[in-house]
Formats: sequence, structure tokens, C-alpha cells
Amino acid sequence: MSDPVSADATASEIARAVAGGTVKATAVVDAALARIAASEPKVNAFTDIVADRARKRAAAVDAGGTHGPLAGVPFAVKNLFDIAGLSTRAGSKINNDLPAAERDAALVRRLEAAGAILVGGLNMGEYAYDFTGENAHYGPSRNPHDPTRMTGGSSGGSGAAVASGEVPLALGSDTNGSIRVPSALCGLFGLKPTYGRLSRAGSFPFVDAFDHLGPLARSAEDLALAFDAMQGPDPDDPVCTTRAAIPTLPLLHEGVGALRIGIAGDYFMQGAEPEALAVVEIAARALSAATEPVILPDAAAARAAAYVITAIEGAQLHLPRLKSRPQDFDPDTRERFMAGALLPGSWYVKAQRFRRRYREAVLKLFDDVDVILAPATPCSAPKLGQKMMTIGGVELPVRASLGMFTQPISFIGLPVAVAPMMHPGPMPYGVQIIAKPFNEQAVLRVAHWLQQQGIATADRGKL
Amino acid sequence: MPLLRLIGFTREVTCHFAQGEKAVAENKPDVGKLVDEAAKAIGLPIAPEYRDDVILNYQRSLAIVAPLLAVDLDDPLTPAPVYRP
Repeated sequence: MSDPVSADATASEIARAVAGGTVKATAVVDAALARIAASEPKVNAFTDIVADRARKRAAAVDAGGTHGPLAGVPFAVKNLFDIAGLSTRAGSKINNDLPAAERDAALVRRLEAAGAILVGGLNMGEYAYDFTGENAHYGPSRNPHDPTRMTGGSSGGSGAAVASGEVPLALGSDTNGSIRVPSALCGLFGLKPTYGRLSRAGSFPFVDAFDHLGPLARSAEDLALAFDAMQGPDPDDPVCTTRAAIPTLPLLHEGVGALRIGIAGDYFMQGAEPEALAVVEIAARALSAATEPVILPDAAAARAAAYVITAIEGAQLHLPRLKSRPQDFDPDTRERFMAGALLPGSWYVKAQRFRRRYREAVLKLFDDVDVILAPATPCSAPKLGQKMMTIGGVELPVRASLGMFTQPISFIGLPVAVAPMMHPGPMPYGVQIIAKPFNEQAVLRVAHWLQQQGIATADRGKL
Repeated sequence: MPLLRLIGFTREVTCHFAQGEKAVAENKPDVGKLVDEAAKAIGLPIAPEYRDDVILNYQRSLAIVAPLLAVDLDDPLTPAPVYRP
């Protein structure tokens, strides 16, 4: 059990201590704000800090005004979430000219209704079109395990803030891997829920077909705690499911004995550093996974289709800004958006038609397994500014390749948790734990079991 | 046209188009010209200092999309999105 005001405290530990009266929410929030002030020159995770708001809210929690499962837990959100009184940057310079948000995003409101306390907005890749965590306007978020390396993105600030111990919990968005890539590269647990499970109301969009929101934390229990607080229908997001919430926390400790677990083969066993594949093997062996690999058919085509839909939908969203203010875009997104605006429409329709076939084929796999394991990234965190990398003798662009294992999963909206694995060496890797739609409970149970066994560990970066 | 012949015809046409897509991907179009003309068509000015990187990204897209273009899809396979009025 960590000291609840320390950088090592998890959200669950803080909430228990605040609820039990052993620590004040104000002390927890003051300590978090002090850590943020001390760490920011090194990690550059935050773009906005709402200290006054946080202190007021903490005082209200201490006064008994708010009770809930996350009482007193400081958290921060990727700056594409609306924060009342601030312009929603979405990692851009252009959005700073937008009027300030009138109210918080739906998930911010839900976490605060559960007692959590927002302390700020987090750095991200511009308009979420990013796997690196770099940003020309605000500087790169830096990996707390090695500040010369990338956090991964686009939820780079979310990864840096939690892995440095500034806050125990952050929210990010994941369109093609933007929660899972930074979770893996920063050594964190991350959850990309089922498409439509969590409301996206009050968040700046990127690709409606794939946009998801979810939490990053240093324990699987914290993911479950936050996820349960955020579930539920929301008419403000037309994609948000009307299914009733399925709490995950009550079954988190059930173990994994009843789950049928497989490893993704073929596409997911190629094109990666040996260590990225080795951590999947380690997790699979511990979980007694089936030795026969599970083949997701046409996974390479799925990645291509996700790429096409992203490029075209994202470019269409930003086309007016590409025409009127091209000089104000981050150079690392501008030309990609421009190229996306020119791609053939027939590619887009074929990608959507293929998505239906791929979804049907992958869902059939869950007749025989409950959970599929796969690497999260093909490598550990690249150096900041690195443009190309060599894997298996093949030179690949860093920016496009970091999501090669995450894209074929979010393409069909499956729930995925990332469990962080420290391979011998200084930098972490991640394992994707994938299940059928709305089975978040299974992926969180597996992630929690791996952490309980000491196989998955979310060590704080020692800056 | 009898149903079986119609199905055969449809498959031939589908196959023909699939091969055509592959051929386009393999024939290495003049991406510079393509970018210039497509940008004109949608009214997107591309400043000279951005043009090379737009072309590079378009070329990367051509490479990345290849596995999708190689897939043959049956005609009844409609797109995944469901519009609910």
C-alpha cells in the first residue's frame, strides 16, 4: 500500500484512503499539483493546469459534498476533451481560436460525479493524427523512462503524466491505437473499450468511424474503477450504446481459469522486434494460452482499410482549415491530411465493405476463445525526432508503423486492454488483451491477473 | 440472362475490377500530376514548400493500401456503417 499522497499511489489506493478518512482530498491534490510543477520541465505532459478549480473541488470533497468510488483521485485529460472555460486545443494551434468550452466533456463529468478531481489538460499529437506524442506547437511529451524517447501517441501527455507519477489516472482517445501505443511505450495499463461503450460527447473528433475514449493508469484495478464510473448511455453521442452498463470491478478478482486464451498468429508474429513478441509469449505461457495461434484473417488488409478510412475521414474533417490556414498546422500532420484529402473515394467504400467481412470473420473466432493476445507495438519507444526505424532488416517509417498491431483491432471496435511488460532492459513493451465486443470484463480480468502475478508491471519512470 | 450465368458474369466483372485495381497500384501513376490535379479539383491550394511531402505521403498511401486492393469482395457485401434515421 503506497502513501496516498505519494507519486506511487494508485487511484484505488487514494480513493480508499480518502473514503476512509486517513487522508484529505486537498492534501492529495496539493501533492499532485506540486509533482506536476516539479516534473513538467522534464516530461511536458500538460498544456493546461486548472489548479484553482481542483483545489475548490478537493475542498468540497473534504467537506462531504461529494462521495463516490473515486473520491479525491486527481486525474487529467488529453486536451481534446472539453474543459469548461478553456478552448479545446486537440493538440492544435488553430483550435486556440475557438470559444472556450461551456461545460466539461461527458466523461469528465462522470469521473467528477464519482468524486475524482480534474487537474488539467494534456499534450497530444495534433488533431490525434499521430503515434509519436510529438507536437510542433507545444513540444513533445517525453517518456518518463527515458526523456530522450517518445511517449507514443497521440495520447502522449496522458502516458507521460501517469508514468511520471504526476497523476494516477488520465483519459485519452484511441482511433487507431492512441491509448494502446503510449500505454505500451510508457509502461502503463490502458483500456480502449468497445466502440460506442463510452460517450464521446464533448470531445473533439478525428475519425467518427473509429474514435474511442478510455483510461490509462498504473493498475488494471484503476482502469476498472474509472471505466465503471464512465459507462452508461448518453444521447449526446449518437454512437454511444444504449446497453446497460456492465460493471467490471466486482469480477476483477475472479481469476482467469475459466477463460479460453489464444495468441494472435500470422500478421501479429511478424515485423516486430524479438522483444515485442517475446513479452506476448511470456504472458501467454503464464496464462496457459492455447499453443495453436489464432489467425485474424486478412489482418494486413484490415490495417490498410483502417489507414484509408482514417486518412479520408480525417482529411475531410479538416479540409476547411487545410484550405484557409495550412501554415498553422503541425508540419507532421499537414501533408498527411492534404494527401488524405486527395485519395480515391473507391478506396474508402471498399474499406468500409471489407470492414463488414473482416468483422464477421473475427467475431467467429470468439466461438473458440474468450481472449486473444497480441503485441501492442512492433518496438519499444523510439528516440524523439526519429523518422525511420529498421525491424528485421526492413526500414519503416516510425510514424506509420507504431500502430501496425493496434489498427486491425480498433478497426472493428473490439475492447482491448494493454498490459505493460518490462523486458530485461530499460524500456517497456505492451501486450494487447483483446475480447469480443462488450467483454471489457474479460480483458481487465486478464490484465489484473498478470499484474497480480508480477508478470505485468507499471513501474513509474524514475526521472 | 439465366441466374447462374448472371452470377458467373458478376464474378467475372468483380474479378476484372479487382485485377484493374491491382494493375493501377502496380502501374505506378505519376503521383505528382495526380496530386496537382486532384488538389485543383477540390480547391485545395498546396504551396510549393508542401508539395513534395504531400506526394511522398500519397506514395506511402499507395503502398499501404495494396493489401486492401488485393482483396476480392462479393457484390452483396455492403458497407459496414448503419445509418439510423
